[in-house]
Amino acid sequence: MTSLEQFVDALLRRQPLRRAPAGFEARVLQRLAQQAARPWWVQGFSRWPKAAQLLFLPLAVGCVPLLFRAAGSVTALLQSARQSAPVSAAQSAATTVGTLGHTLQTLGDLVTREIPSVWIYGSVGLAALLYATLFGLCAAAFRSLVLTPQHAPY
Amino acid sequence: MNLSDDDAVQAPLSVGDRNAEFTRFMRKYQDMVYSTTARLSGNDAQAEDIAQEVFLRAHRRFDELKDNPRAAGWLKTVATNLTFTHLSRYRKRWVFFSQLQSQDEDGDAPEQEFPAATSVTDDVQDDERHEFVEAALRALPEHQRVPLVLFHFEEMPYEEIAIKLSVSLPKVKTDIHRARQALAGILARRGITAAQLEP
Repeated sequence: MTSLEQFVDALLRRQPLRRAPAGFEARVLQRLAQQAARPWWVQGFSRWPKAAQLLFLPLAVGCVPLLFRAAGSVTALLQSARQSAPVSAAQSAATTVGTLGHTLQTLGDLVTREIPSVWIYGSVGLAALLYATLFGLCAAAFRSLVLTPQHAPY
Repeated sequence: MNLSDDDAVQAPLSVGDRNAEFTRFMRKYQDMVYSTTARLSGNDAQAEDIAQEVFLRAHRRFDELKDNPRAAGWLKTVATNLTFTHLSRYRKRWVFFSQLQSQDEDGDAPEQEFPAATSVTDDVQDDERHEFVEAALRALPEHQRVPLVLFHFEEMPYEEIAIKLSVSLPKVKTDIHRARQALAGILARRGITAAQLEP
């Protein structure tokens, strides 16, 4: 160990801890109180009640067919309204929405009736795999291109 | 940490009063966490923000940490990592400034306001010296201060620092050596020398 290293080492080892600012403790506690006051559904998923966590996934998946059915109902409603009243700008917009809903319904029917479930699950799995692959590639590119030693500030 | 703090930590805790328990935990470790974030970041305001985030995370895992002898290590690791994350947000700006600085003199420290030097003589008091050293640390450029703090305060070996900072081992050694030279130079100009460290 050189004398310079010894000097600096001795100097820094004698340094006491820096005292946290006077209001630090109160600030942290206030922040914790603010976080605790937020409703659970505003907080992160990991902080949800266990029951809500368990129910969330099936409910979310179950919403998909409901969405398709709702789209179909809206389409039917709009079509009946179009047939029974004169055309206006509002009805024209409604027709567009109705067409969109009809498309969604058709897609829903196609997905649920025409495509075998193996294909659906396979596609979802493939999409997840591709997503993970792309994520990994981007992370690797970021680490190698952005966080390389020659770019590091140290 | 003084004796009263230790007593507070060992005092019996009321059952279910998690916040009171956490407050005691925070009192025990807040200076340590703040020291780590302040010395690494070189900015007291940012250090306070980072230290706050450390304790918010600790609160989420408080059940695991409260009686864990490794709590201090966990807090230090989180404090170090969060400070790195914070510093990396300014990485491009750092690169720019560190390149400018390296064209000038890599080991030279920027101008920094130090405590008044009127009382800095041979019999300089410990408190004053501590203040000078902290100010001198803040005066070092980040690429020197960070590895120096990791080596001397966090007792991290060169190899680990190199991995942590994603730089080569020779660069870590060079930066720490230059940091020591710069620090010793700053302190020597203000009358703090090795002789004063003699018991």
